[in-house]
Amino acid sequence: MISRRHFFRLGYRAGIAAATMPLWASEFSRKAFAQFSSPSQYKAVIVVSLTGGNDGNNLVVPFGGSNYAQYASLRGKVALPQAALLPLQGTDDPSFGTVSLHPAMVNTARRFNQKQAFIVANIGPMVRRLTKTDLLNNQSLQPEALLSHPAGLAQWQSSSTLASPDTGWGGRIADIYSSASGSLPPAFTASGSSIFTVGRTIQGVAVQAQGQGAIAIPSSLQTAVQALASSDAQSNNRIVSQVAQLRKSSMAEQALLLKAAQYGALPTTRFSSSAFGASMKMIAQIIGGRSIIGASRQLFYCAQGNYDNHAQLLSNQGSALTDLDTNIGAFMDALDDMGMTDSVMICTHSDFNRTMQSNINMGSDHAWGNHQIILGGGIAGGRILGTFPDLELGGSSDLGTQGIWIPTTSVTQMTAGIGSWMGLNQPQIDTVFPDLANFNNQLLLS
Amino acid sequence: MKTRIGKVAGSKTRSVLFGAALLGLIGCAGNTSLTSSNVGITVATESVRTDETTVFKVEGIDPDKGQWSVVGGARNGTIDQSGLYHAPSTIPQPSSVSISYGLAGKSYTHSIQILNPVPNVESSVPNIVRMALSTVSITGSKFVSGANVLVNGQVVPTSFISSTSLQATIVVPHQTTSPLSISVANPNPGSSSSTTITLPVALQPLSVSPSVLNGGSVNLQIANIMPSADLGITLDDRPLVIANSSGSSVMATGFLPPWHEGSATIRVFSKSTAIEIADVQLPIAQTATSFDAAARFLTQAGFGPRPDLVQHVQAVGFSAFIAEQQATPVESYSSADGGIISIMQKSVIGSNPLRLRVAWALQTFLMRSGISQQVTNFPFEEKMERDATGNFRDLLTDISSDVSVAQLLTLAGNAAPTDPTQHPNQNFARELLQLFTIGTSTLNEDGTVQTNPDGSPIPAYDQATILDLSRVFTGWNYAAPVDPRYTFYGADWSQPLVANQSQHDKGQKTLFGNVTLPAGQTAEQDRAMALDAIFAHPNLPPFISRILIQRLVKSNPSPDYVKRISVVFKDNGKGIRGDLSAVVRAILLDPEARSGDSSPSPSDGFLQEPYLFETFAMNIIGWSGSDAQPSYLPCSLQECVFYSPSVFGFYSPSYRIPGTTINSPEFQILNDVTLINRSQALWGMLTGQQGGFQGVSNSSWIIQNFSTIEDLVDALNHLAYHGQMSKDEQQFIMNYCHQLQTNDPLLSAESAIFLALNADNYTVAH
Repeated sequence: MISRRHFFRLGYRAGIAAATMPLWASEFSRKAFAQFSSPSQYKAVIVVSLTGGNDGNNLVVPFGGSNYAQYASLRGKVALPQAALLPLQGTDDPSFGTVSLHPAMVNTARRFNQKQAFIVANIGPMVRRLTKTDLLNNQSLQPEALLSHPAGLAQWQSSSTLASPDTGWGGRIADIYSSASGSLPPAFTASGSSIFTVGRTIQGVAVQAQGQGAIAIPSSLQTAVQALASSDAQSNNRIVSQVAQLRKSSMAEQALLLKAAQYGALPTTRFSSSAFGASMKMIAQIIGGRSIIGASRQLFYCAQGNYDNHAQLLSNQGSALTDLDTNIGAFMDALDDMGMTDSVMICTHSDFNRTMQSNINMGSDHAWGNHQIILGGGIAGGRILGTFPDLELGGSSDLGTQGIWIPTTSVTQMTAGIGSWMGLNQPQIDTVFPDLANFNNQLLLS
Repeated sequence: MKTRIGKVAGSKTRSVLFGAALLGLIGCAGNTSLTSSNVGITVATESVRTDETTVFKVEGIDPDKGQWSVVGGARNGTIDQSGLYHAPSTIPQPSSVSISYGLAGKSYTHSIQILNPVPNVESSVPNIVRMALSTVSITGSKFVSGANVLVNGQVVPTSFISSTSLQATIVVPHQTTSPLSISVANPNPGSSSSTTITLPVALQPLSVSPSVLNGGSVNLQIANIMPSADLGITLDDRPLVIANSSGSSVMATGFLPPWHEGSATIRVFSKSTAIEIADVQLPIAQTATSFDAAARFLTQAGFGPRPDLVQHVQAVGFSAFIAEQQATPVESYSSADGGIISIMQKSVIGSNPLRLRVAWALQTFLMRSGISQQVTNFPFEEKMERDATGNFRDLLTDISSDVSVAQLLTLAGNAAPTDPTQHPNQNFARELLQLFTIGTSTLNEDGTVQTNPDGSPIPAYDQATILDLSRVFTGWNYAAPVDPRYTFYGADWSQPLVANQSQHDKGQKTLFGNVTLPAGQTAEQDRAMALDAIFAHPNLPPFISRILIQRLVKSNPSPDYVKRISVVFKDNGKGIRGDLSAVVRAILLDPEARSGDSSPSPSDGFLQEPYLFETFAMNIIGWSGSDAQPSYLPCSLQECVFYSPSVFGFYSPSYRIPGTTINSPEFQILNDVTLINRSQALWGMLTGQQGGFQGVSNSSWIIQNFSTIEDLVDALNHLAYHGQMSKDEQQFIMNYCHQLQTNDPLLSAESAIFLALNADNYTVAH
C-alpha cells in the first residue's frame, strides 16, 4: 500500500503539479485568503453510507430487562450478549427503555454521552405515513423496489422513494450553495460514484484517499490531452462529450483538492489503515484546507464496510462497525483539534435494515426501517429521535413475519433537518426536499 | 589555376586560364601572339580538333630558312616545313600546344588549343526501346571519355566504353510513343554534339504479378522493367523495397494498408531524374467488409482491433466470423495456468475472442466470489465460455450450482430451519431474480418498464416469491473435494454443489403467484422447476437481451433493438428459447449495431470499461507476455476483474451519467480521479512503466508497418477509430509529434498512440 505522502510525491512527479501551479497561482490571487471563512461560518456534512444494508437491530439495542429479553428471543443466535452492550446515558425510550449501542461503537457512545450525538430510530424511505394495513392493501405505496440494495441506497441518498432518482439530496443542496463553495463544487465523494453528490447542476468531485501509484505523463502531453478534451467536449456523441467534460475539469480540480488537503496541519488522531480510515482522514484534511478552496459549505459522501451479511452477522458486522467507529472517533477528535466539532455533522445512511429474525446461516436478510446515527454539528445530542418499532414478528410494525420494520420516520424528515441545519431557508427546503410535504415536519436537529 | 605553357627568351611569357571560361579565352586569343618586335607567327585557326590540321605562317622574317617544330614533341602533334600542323589524336595535357619557329639562333612561338573531336553516332543496340528504363549501347566514333548520350537533347547517365562505344541508361516517360532522338556530346575542351539518330519506342507495358492485390504484406513481381539502382517503386505512395531480380523483372516488397480499397497505384520512377516511368493501377481484392468496419466490429465481438483478426474479419465477413468463433470449442484451463492473466492472454491473443468476450459480458452481471487463489476462477470462467454458445437454461443451472457464486451469495449451507427463530437465507433467491435474470420491474418485450397509473414501476415479483424461492434453494452444500488442485478452504471449486435432502424444505412453494412447486420434491426437482419458471418468465428475454446489447454494442439501445433480440431469445427460429449463440449473433448483426460502421449515431456506443480499455490497447500495441501484473491494472481503476466488491459488480446496467438521461453503466466507475489514473496507466502501458508491459514494441504491427508519423496516425485512425478520427485531430497529433525535440526515437510513436487512445472520442467505442 502506497502512503498518502508518497502518493503526493508521485502526483507531483506525474505532472499534477504542472497543472497545479498555474491554477493555483490564479486561484491564490483571486480567492484564497480573501475568502477565508471563519469556523463559525463554515458548515459541512459527511454522509457515511453503511453499504450493503447495516443490521440496525444490532446497532441500536434495547438494554433494559424485558426489552432486552424480547430482543434476544427474536434474534436468537444473532443476539448480542447484554453484558457487551454499551448503554447510553439518560435514555429512557417508551418502548426500548435504556438504549444501548453495539459493543464496537465505543467512540460513538462516548460522543452520545457527551451530548454530541443522537440516534434516529426506525427511519426509512416512505411515500407518506403508512400503516401495515395500508401497505398490505396497496403494494404501490411501498418505496420502489423495496428491499433491493441499489434502490434502498438511492432512496437514502436522494431523500426520495424512487428506485432510480436523477439527483441526490447532497447535490441538490450543493446546487444552492455552489456560489458559496469557492473554487470547487461543494459536493465530494470519497467512494466513487454516488447519486448523493449529484445535483441538477452540480456533480460531485471525487476524492482520492489512497494513491494507486502514479506514472509520470509529460506535461506537454497533458496540455495536449486537455486540448483534445476541449474539442471532444463538442462531440455529437453524447457519451464522448460527457467524458470530455469530465476530463477537462478533472486535472484542475484534483490539483486544487490536493493543495487544500496539504494546507492544514495533518491530523494526528488515530485513523485506521482501512479505505474508510483513509477517506475520513482525507476529508478531515480537506476541511482543514477549506480556505484554499474558499468554501463555506461542503458535503461529503463516503461509503463504508460491507454490511450485506446474509451469513455470520455477528463477526462480520462486528469488524465493520469497529472500522466505522474507530474512524468516526478519529475524525471527531480531529475536528476537536481544529475547533470544528460544531461546524461539521456526520450522519449514517444504509441501504435498509435487515430482518429481525435471523436466517439459517446466522445472517439476516433485507428489511426496511433502520436506525441511524448523527454526530457533531453543535447539536443537542444525547437523545433518541423518532419512535422504535414494536418488537414483535408479524406485529403491527412488521411488514411481513420476519421483522421487516415499517418506518416511523421518513428519510426526508432527517435529511431535511440536516439541510435546515446547513442553513437552507424554508423555500429552499421545499425545493430540495419535495417529499417533505407528505410529512408533518422535518426533524429538529439544533 | 595558372599554367605556364611556353617561354621564349626575350619574349613575354603568356599564360592561359583553364576552367569555365576557357572557350571565351580561346575566342579572344586570335591575334595576341606577336612578340614585341615586328616578327610574328600566325595560324589559320587558333584551335584545332584532334587529328585535324591547320597552317602556321611566319611573318617579318624569312619563312623558308627557319625550322618549324612542336614544343613537347610528337605527343603534341606534328608540323611540316610548310607550317601544316597535324593535331594529335588525343588531347595532350596541357591541351594548349606551342609551335615554334627557329631561325638564326632565335625562336618564335605561338600556341594553339587542341579540342575534342566531334562525335559521330552510327547505331544503337537495342535499336528499339521496349522497356521504360533501358540500357542502350551506342556505337559510333570519336567518343571521348566524359562523352554523354543525349536523349531528346537531355543528358542521360552514360558510361564511356571506348571511342566507338558508349552505354547509356534511358528512362522513357510512361505513355511515350514518339521515337527518341539520340545524340552524343563530347565534353570540353571544344565540346560538340553529334548528329542524331532516331530510336523508335515501343514500350511494353509493365506486367505486375499478382494482378489483384490484398491488403497487408505485398510481394510484387514486376516484369518488363530493367533492374537498376536508379529504380524507385511506390505502392500508394509508400516505398517498396526492391529485391534482386532477373534481367527484365524486379521483385518489390512492401505493405498495402488494408483499409485501401478499389485500386492501388504502383508508381515506378527513376530516382535520379524523378521521371515517372510507369503508373499502374492494380485492383485491390474485394473483401467481405471494410477494414474500418471490421476494426469496429472487434470492439463488439472481441477484445479490440487486433490487426490480424481485423484483416480476417475483413476477409470473411461478420457472419462467417461469428460462425467460426461459435464453432470453436472451449479450451480448458488447468490449474497450472497462471490465474486471471491466463484468461486475459486467451482473450487478447487467443483464437476465440468472441467466446471470451461473451463470457466476460456474462460475468459483468453474474457475480461471484473471487478468492486469492486465482485458479478458482477457472471453473466458472470455463462454464461461462461454454454457456456463451449454449442455452441460458443451462447457464441457470451453472450459476445455481457453482461454488464461487454460492460463496458470494451464501447459498451453500442454506437449509430448512429447525430452529423457530430462523428462516432460510434469502440472499441467493433475491439476487438470482433481481440481478441475474428478471430484475425488479415488470418489463415489456422491448425492455421498457411497465408502470402503474401513477407512473410507478410494476414489481416483477413480490416478497412472497422471494420467501418461497429461498425455501427452494435449501439443502445445497459443497461437494466432497475431488480435485486437490482446485480445493481451497475445504471447498472444491470445480465441483457443483450437492443436495442434502434432509436439509431441504419439502413444503409446497408458489413462485410469481402462479407457479406451484408441489410438496415432497427433492432439492434437485425443486431447483429444476424454479429455474424452469424463471427461464419461462417474460422478463427474462428483454432483461438479458438488453444487458448483453449494452455489454457488446451500446449503452442506449432503442426499444426496437431490444425487442428484436428478445424475439430471438424467445425463439431462435427453430423453436428453442434461450439459445445464446443465436442471441449474440442477432445482437452483433442487428442493423442498429452495424449502423455505426458508416455513420456514427450520436447515442451509439459504450464507454470502454477499464478491462476493455486495457485489452483493446494491448491488441493495438501488440502486447504479449506472461507477467501477471496486467491483470491487476483494472483494479486500480475500480474494476477488480473477477473480484467484484459485491454482488452488484462494478456498475449497474441502469446507471445514468449524472445530470443527464444518458444510460452509461461504465460511467459509474469513471470520475475525475479514475480518469487521471487511466491516462497514467495508458502512458505506463505504452512506455513500459506499467508493470507487465514492455511498451510499444518495434516489432509490433503498428510500428513495423507505419514508420512515419503521418502513416502512424493514419493507421491509428483506421485501426483504433475505424476511420472516424477527425482531420483536425489527426493534424493535431501529427503537429504535436513533429514539434517534439527528443533523441528518443519511440517517443513520437508513443505520444501519437497515447493521444489517440487517451482521447474521449476513442475511449467511447462507437
